[in-house]
Amino acid sequence: MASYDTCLARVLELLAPLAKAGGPVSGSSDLIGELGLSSIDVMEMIEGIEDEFDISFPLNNLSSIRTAGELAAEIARLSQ
Amino acid sequence: MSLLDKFEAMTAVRAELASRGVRPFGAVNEQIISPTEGTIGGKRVILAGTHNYLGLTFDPDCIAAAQRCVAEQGTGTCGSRMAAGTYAEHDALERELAAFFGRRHGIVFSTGFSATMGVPATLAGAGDTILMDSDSHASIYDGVRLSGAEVVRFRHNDAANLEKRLERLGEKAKDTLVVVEGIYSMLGDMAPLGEIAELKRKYGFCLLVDEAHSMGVLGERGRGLAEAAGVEDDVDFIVGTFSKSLGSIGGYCVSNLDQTDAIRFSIRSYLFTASSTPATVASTRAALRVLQARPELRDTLWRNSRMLYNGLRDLGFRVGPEASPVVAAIFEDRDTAIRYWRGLLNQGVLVNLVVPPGSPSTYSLLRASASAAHTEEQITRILKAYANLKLEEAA
Repeated sequence: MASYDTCLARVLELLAPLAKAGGPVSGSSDLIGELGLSSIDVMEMIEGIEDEFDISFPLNNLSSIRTAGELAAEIARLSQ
Repeated sequence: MSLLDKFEAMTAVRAELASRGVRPFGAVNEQIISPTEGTIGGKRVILAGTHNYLGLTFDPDCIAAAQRCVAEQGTGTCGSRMAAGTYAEHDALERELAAFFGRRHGIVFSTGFSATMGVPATLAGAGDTILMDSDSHASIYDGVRLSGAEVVRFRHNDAANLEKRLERLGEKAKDTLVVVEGIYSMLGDMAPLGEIAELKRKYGFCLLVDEAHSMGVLGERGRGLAEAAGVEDDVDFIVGTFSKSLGSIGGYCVSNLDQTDAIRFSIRSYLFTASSTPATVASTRAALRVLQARPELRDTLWRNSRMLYNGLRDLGFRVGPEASPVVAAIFEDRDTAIRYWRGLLNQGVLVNLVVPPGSPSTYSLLRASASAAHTEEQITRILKAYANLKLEEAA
């Protein structure tokens, strides 16, 4: 079980080297539109998160996730 | 953002490629000379990017069967399989396919895409779970999305990773659909089907294998990876295509399960599209007979596949994990891959360029395919063309 804050901190850590735009990454950063991640970047990051948090991340849930904060919230929900 | 703004990125990619003078996606084959040669831009090229594994597109028996059938039955059926579009040819092909795979039931589709998309889309529904290999074909991705089921990917060819997901599902694992492929279309590697079959015996899930690239290629009788791995009894559904080893177009699903007929009439991509032309079905039936009568074609295919795979590896190219008829050279840099694609075409060799997001990861691929119809001299010429580019690069 992981809290939202723990998940967000880890997501931001993982995003930092991937963010192509180069600016600061925060919970409100848009993964694709703002940070410039490709769909492959997102999927590969999620594979790592699944192992780390021992969760299975359904593809169905991805379509409604736009920001780092939304991704962290979903990880926290799945890890309950 | 307006409705059509999302296509700006694709427009930009097309413009970029055009500015480099390359047309890697949709290069026009002006003349098809043989299963392995054509002309592009007026120049004779070796076709090393088709999946004509057994080289049957010009087989005399297949051509004669198609010609006879088009003369006798016309150019098209103008009907779907359930509404006036089922001819004796379709019915016969379904029986022959089922017999070939040693299964009780067979369903024939108009394209491979409609089979590999439609079957998983129909087998699972809302409230169900699908576990799929992350390198699955686009048709499978589309199908599982359409199903309405919860879809979870597992790491490519990683049975341990699949098992972790099965464990997390608990009791639900036994009602889960697991989807894998015999030979994966991008890197040409094979699913660890023996390990996955063991998991099926442990967890009791439903197993679907897409043998699109492995039918006619693997197994003593050419039935695919399930046969080669000795686990046919563990596979509930086999899907695939006629557009590779059988040299035509169309798709199939075979199974021993009694529900197959009910499933047939629930698959929208089967129900609501015109059935295959009689000539197409006739040539497919003839090709299936050739596949069974001439197992030596598989030996030739594998000899050519190993020659191409080992040759590229020895030249220093990064290739897929194992030899198979799909031989991919992996490039970290997209521009280099595009340059090599153009360089190969200039030397009379047509392969497939695959760039992200079409490739399984952030790398690009030059994907070649071997055919039983390639001569040793053609494979040597293909390798020479790659070698020349390697030398240019080093200069």
